[in-house]
Amino acid sequence: MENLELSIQIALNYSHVDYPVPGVNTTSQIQIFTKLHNFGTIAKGTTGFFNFTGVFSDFNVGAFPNFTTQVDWLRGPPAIEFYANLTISLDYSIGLHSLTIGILNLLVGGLP
Amino acid sequence: MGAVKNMVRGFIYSAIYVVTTIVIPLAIFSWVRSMVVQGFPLDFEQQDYESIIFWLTAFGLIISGCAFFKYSSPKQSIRKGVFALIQVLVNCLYLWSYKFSGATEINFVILNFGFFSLNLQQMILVYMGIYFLTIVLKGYDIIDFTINREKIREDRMKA
Repeated sequence: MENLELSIQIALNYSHVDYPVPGVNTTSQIQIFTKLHNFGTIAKGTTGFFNFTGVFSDFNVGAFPNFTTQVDWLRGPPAIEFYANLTISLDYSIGLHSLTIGILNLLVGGLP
Repeated sequence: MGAVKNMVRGFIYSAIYVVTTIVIPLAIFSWVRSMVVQGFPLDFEQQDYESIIFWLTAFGLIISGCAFFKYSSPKQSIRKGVFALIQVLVNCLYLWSYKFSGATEINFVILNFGFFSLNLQQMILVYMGIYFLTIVLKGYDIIDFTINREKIREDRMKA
C-alpha cells in the first residue's frame, strides 16, 4: 500500500450578525483548518501507527470571524459548530489502482 | 462438413465473446450500482452508468462479430489472420472505452456520509500496453500465412 494520505479540513459554522444587511443574520461557513499528510508506504503484512498533528500555521487565522461583533451567540445552542471533511486516499499494487474515501460534513463539536 | 463445423465454431466463440464482453460487465455494473455498504446506499451517477453501458455494448458487439469471422475461417487462412488482427485492435478500443466512458474512475456518493472513489486507469493502461504487443504477433501471422499460402493449402488438402 503506497501513498497513504489523510486530509482533514475543518469548517466553522456560525450566524453572521447583520450580514448582508443590518438586521439580517446569515449562516456562514468558513474553512479554518486544512492539512494533508502523506504517511508513505506500508509494506505487505505490516501495520502502521501514525500521528496526525496540526500546527498554528495550518489554521487559516485570517478567515476567523470577530467573535465579539460578528457571531450571533443567541443562536443555537451551539452558536458555533465545527464540521470536518476527512479524506483518506491510497494506492495499491504499484499504483495500478487508487482508492479514495471521504467523510463529508461530519459534526465534530460546537460552542458553547 | 468442414464449412459447417467452422460456422458452428464461429457461433460458439461469438456467443462466448457476447457473454464475456457484454453480459458479465453489464451484470457487474448493475450489481455495483444497487450495492448497499454498511446500510448506506451508493449513488452511482446515472449519466456515468449509461455512458459505460453504451460503449461496452457497442465495442462488445463489434468484438463478438469479429470473433465469428475469425473462428469460422479456416485455420492458417489469410482471412483468419486479418480478422484476428482486427479483433486485437477492437479489443484495444474496448479496453480504451473503459477509460473514456468513465468506467475506470468510479465515483460513488454515499448519501448523508461522504463518497467513495476507485481509480483503475493505470491498471487498464498497463493491460492495454501488454495486449497491444499481440498486434505484432498477429501481423507476423498474416505475413506467414501469405508467404506460405501454397504450402498451407497443400497441407490442408492432404489432411
